[in-house]
Amino acid sequence: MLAHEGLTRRLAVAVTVLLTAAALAPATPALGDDGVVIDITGAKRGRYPIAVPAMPSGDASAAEVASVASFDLGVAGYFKVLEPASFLADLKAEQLSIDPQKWKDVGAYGVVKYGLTTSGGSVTLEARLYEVSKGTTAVLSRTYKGSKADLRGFVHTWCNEVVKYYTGEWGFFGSKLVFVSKGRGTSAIMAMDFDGHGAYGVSRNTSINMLPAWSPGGGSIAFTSYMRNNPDLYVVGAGGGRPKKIAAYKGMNTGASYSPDGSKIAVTLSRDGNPEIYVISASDGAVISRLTNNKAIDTSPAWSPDGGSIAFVSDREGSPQIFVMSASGGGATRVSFNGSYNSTPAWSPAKGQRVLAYATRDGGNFDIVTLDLASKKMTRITQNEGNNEEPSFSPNGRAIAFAKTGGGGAGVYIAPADGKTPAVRVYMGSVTGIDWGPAPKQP
Amino acid sequence: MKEPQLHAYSTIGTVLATAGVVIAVYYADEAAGSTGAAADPYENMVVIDAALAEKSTAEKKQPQKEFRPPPEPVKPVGVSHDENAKPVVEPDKPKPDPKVDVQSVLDKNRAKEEDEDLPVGKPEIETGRVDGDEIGYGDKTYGDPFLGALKSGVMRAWEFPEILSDVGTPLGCIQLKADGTIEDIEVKKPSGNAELDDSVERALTALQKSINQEPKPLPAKLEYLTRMQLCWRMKV
Repeated sequence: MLAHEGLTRRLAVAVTVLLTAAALAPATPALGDDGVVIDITGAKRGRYPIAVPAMPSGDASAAEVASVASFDLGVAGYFKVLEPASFLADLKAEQLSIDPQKWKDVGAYGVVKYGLTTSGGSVTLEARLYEVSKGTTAVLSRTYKGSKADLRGFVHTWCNEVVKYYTGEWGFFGSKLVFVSKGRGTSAIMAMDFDGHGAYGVSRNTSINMLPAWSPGGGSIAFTSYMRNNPDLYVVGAGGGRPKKIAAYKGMNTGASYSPDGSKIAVTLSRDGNPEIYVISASDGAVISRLTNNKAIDTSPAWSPDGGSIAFVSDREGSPQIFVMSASGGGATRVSFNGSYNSTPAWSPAKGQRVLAYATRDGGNFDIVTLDLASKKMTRITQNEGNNEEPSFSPNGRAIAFAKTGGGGAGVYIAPADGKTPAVRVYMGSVTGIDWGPAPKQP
Repeated sequence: MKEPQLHAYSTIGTVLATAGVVIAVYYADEAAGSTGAAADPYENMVVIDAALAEKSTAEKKQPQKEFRPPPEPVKPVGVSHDENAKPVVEPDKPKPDPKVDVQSVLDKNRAKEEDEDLPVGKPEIETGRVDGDEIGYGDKTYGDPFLGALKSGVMRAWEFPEILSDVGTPLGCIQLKADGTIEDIEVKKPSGNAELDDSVERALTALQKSINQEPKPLPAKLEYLTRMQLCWRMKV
């Protein structure tokens, strides 16, 4: 009996040793057909290098197409548009196709090609997207037909298609910005394409107008105006026209921010003597609820995309800081702890995120930062380049528009929300009160 | 020979070896059993005195601390709580004799052998693990500097756009020559992710261009790499 147990034990040990040796054998470096094999991990991740060559025709419209597309893809936050001077390909020979090796040699992963034909006042735009690794077959192809006036819109739509091809989400090209253009003793509400094209006046009075805000659908703009000697709240169509007075309570009626469904507006009212945050009806301005009740100044409400929270500015703890509270009031929590003066919060519309952008005074100037409320990670968008204030996110949260004064060029700027590349100016002038409109509709 | 074949042969070999050992052990025991059928099965057991196995009936006691008188307070040397007491002054240590022969000290420390021809500077590094990616001297960091430099070159050249899917692990290989130049590159086992495979090919091409501009001869101990490829299994 005991001899049997000893045999079994020794057999078990022998089998275990052999099986263990067999299991460990493949862990040693392979020296078979593959030679010496080493594992490495950690490619550098960056923007997608894309080439947007101008069409060889030299036509002004053709040049505009490449210019608009290069700008759009450059500020999208996903791409690195390659410098055309480096291109090796024979564009005339290639036309709408590509020679992949020529583009690979200049570092391109993607190539955008156009073909434009004009006939009288109409244009036909053919657009192709190539992935160099996939050879000479276009991975995306579209044709747009219309009038010459539609050309920029066609390019914006095409670039949105390109973004959607890579990311699954529609881009923000073709969306609009509203802002305040300041003059001597006046300040007018203006709107324009996100790239600064086609700016037009929304307000048509000579008074002080300020703090415009898009409605969620993009059809109207709320703003505060002194046109009747009190800072009252008005709503006007996005194309301009006669404004409708919404709220004219005693004192200030400022800083409108629409609820995501567009039925309500969060606003700062001082009708009881001290600026507090209220929710009013978007249709008639009737007060629905008062959200803050504090001796301090509470202002600049910003309604979160999920409708559940409102960010605002309060000096209840000394200096102006960013707070977040429930959209029904209560539970106000301070979220900004950097800088001596933080103002004008704006929510990112990016799905699944709770990120705020705001202006922070760190030293002498105001800069734009973003703050992820979940991770507390702060990202700096500008640094020591004049005063940068009043940020507003693009409809997909990938870019931020803001107003800049001093530091080498006042105007409206847009920058990627990850802070990885510098901001570009899209409108020159003394401006304030930037608000980025909703995403363009998909065709 | 392909990797699956190697695994198959390895498995068969393991099974055969296991069977061999089992049979050998079994028969060895059988043989021992047949010759010792009448043997005492308790022959090899150790006999102990039964009294030692008896449980002690002595009552357990709680361990007691040994009483020791408190130590005498030690007055610190050179410090007095008496303000009028003079501080303890230690006598000066004898100063070194200035008449010491400096040359004799130097001679004492001089090397006993002629060593001018020995290499100076950093110690020569033995070939370490082939996957070493740092040039160091500690057990944990040492690696072959030639291979480490190649690996660093690949890592510097390898970029992959963040918006693309990183699924897949392509195998990128180079063929080295004795003069240290890269003769050939290839994505030997593509991952199926065209963009990822393409990024590996770009990285190896850039490495080849860079290395071939200023090649460093392959060390003798790595000469075997002229007969087989050096490959990287590349994971984003």
